[in-house]
Amino acid sequence: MNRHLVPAQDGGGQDGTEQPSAQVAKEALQRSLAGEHAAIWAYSTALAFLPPDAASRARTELEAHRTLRREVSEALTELGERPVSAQPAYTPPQPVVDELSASALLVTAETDAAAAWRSLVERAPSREMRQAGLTRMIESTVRCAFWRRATDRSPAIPVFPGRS
Amino acid sequence: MAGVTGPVLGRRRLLVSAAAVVALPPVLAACSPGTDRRADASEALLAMADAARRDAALVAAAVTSDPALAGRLEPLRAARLEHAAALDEAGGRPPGAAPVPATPQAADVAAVRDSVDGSARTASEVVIEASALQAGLVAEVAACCAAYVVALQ
Repeated sequence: MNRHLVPAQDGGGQDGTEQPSAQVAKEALQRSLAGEHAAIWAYSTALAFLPPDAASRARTELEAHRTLRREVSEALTELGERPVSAQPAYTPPQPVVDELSASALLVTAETDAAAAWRSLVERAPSREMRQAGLTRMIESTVRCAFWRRATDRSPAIPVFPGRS
Repeated sequence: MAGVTGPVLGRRRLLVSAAAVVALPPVLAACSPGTDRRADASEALLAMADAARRDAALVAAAVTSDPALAGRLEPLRAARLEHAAALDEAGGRPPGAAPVPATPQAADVAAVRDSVDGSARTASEVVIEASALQAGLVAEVAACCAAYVVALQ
């Protein structure tokens, strides 16, 4: 069973007119955007199964992901790239039927998001972009820890967050 | 239980750093191919490994002072020892060659949190200068430490 919501995006699309580092960075940004699309879907899906406290937190995180999605989309547009669209549907690792499976879906979503931001840290051609990727990677790790606690995963905070 | 409460890093900070992403085009335009401008950060990695061992020793002292903290802090100690080993390897230090940290007299959760906070900040600085190859590991250490700082608040 696929553990990830978003299939890893691999290379492609180089037209030979751009510097490789810029192209690699754009691809990393697209991967981050794909992760944000998936996270928004995951939070929207999970909400109905969460008790009030967790749902309240999930709504806050959903807004954060929407903000991120907008920011990354705008950045890609400014770079002359067409931002990747959300998939019409995603396949969760397990059916979402209750609080536990809903929380598990959010663990998957944040794990994927952290991996995508980590990838941006590695590929960023500038200090600013690397810093931005790290900030988002940290935020995703903190969010992920909450849902990992909610699903009794140990350790709640992964030793090497974002490593896949 | 070390519950995370609220969006700790805050939307403000998120929005501030968003400017960095939106400001990408000129940054990308100014970028030259190659990665030479990022110096090898091996020394910084080894310093981070030493700090990781100090954090682990501090956790051990805190748990000795108050055994009830073991459940909350032991995962942190294990994580920091794993960080130390990975950073040693990335920095080219042979296994077993690392200095043994001094045993702290005593420690509490606040002391542990402050120390790990310092480690997170150092890692966040090193990641900027690290090579592409090293940046992933340093970012992982930064993210793990930062998440523990939040959890220990």
